[in-house]
Amino acid sequence: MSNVNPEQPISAFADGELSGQPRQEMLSRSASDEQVAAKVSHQRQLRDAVARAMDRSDLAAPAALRSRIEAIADDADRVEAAEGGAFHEPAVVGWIGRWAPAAAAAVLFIAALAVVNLGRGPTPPPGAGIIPVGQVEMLTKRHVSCSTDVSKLYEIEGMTDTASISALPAALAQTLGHATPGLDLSGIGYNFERIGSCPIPGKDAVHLIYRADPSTGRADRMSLWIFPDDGRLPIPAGAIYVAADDQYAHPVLVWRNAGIAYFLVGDSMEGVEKAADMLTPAGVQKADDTAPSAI
Amino acid sequence: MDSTEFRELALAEMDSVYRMAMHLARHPDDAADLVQETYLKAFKAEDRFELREPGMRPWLFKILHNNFYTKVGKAKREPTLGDDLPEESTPSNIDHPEPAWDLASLDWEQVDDRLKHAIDELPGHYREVLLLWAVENLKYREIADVLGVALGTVMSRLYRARGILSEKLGELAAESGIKMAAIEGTKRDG
Repeated sequence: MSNVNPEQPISAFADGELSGQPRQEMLSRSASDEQVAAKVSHQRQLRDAVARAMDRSDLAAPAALRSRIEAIADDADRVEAAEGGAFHEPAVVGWIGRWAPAAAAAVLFIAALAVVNLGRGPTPPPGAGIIPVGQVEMLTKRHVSCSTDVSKLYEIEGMTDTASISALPAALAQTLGHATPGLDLSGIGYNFERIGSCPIPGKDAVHLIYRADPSTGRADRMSLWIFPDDGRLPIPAGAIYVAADDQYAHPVLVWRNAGIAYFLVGDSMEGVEKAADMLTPAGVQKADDTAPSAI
Repeated sequence: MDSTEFRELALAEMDSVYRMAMHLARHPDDAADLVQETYLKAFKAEDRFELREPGMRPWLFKILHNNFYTKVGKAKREPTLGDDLPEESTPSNIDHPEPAWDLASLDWEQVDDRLKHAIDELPGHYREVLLLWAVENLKYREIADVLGVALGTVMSRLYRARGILSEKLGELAAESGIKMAAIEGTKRDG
């Protein structure tokens, strides 16, 4: 103990960190030496004062954050059930399952961060790395869980007509404060099923679920999130980016336009590409006018 | 422990995790991002969690801490004198004098105010260790585990942080003209 500051045992004693012989020694010192007793008392008072000064027990996690995290916890079970345990299997490309080896996780992490433009350009797009892998995972989990059980979608306050896809743009314009383009994907074989509010991916987000028309012989689903563009998506407006490509079980596309941000998640790349084409207004400047890798 | 129980335990700690995130990130949006990432990682690492005496909270703090410092980058870590000292070998020559006045003699509103300012000015590593120690009531060993540092490092940081705060309060005591006769002559180190 020769290197130990002589005051440190006093602090440790005051903190209840000593036991056995060192504690007995400090008890004796404290009883026989007034100055030691005063120092012990001082340390305890200081701890109480620090606790009071740093205490933020009045500060609680915001309700929106709590909802998001509870949804994530809830989704883990639902996704697992819906995908037959795929959530835990490293073999499913695009998932970073909790059983995945660290190396595989690292590769997937890099892949998810490498947001590549939908085209085939050799250079990284301007928006590369904008979407954390955690957000991609949340979107895909939410896509699976909500499209499996549409009752999981929350009712949108103030939206009176959610039954008709043709009436949705007008209703959403009121909710989001910006006009949206036509949202009908029946032209490419996806029927609108339901809309609801969603705690992700942005404030005031709404989540639309589409399902492949039975006549197409497919059973895949599509999720479209729309929310007011708060400027936190650092990508150029009017260009569509791939946050998760066709190596993933659920490809994710993202774009922003005219004050609205869009996240599109589906069960196939072909489906989301067609949908993105349909949802992008004709007047929007395509990124391939300025970058070689855009659609 | 099954998944449901694990998640319930984890979610029950969200306010504490958020408060810690606020202390680290100092901005609500950044804190919320940190907490969300922490829980994502925690849910994935469920099978690596073992319920021990300290419970779920230190484990979540550890993930939060790692997340935060991964984000800000190791290069931006504030240097803290004494971090590399071996366990239980903090030399006395780096320490601050130990004020021997009685905190009870001070005006508590002033103490709180002065302390808050002093804590705010501390390097993040000191604030974190203070929070885990004073507010979360973690033992030195648990703090070391959360922060991924040696026990001696925790003691060193804590001792230095306390020294700094004591000094600030000593200034307040001096301004208030408080001297404790009984311990006025206390020998001070350094």
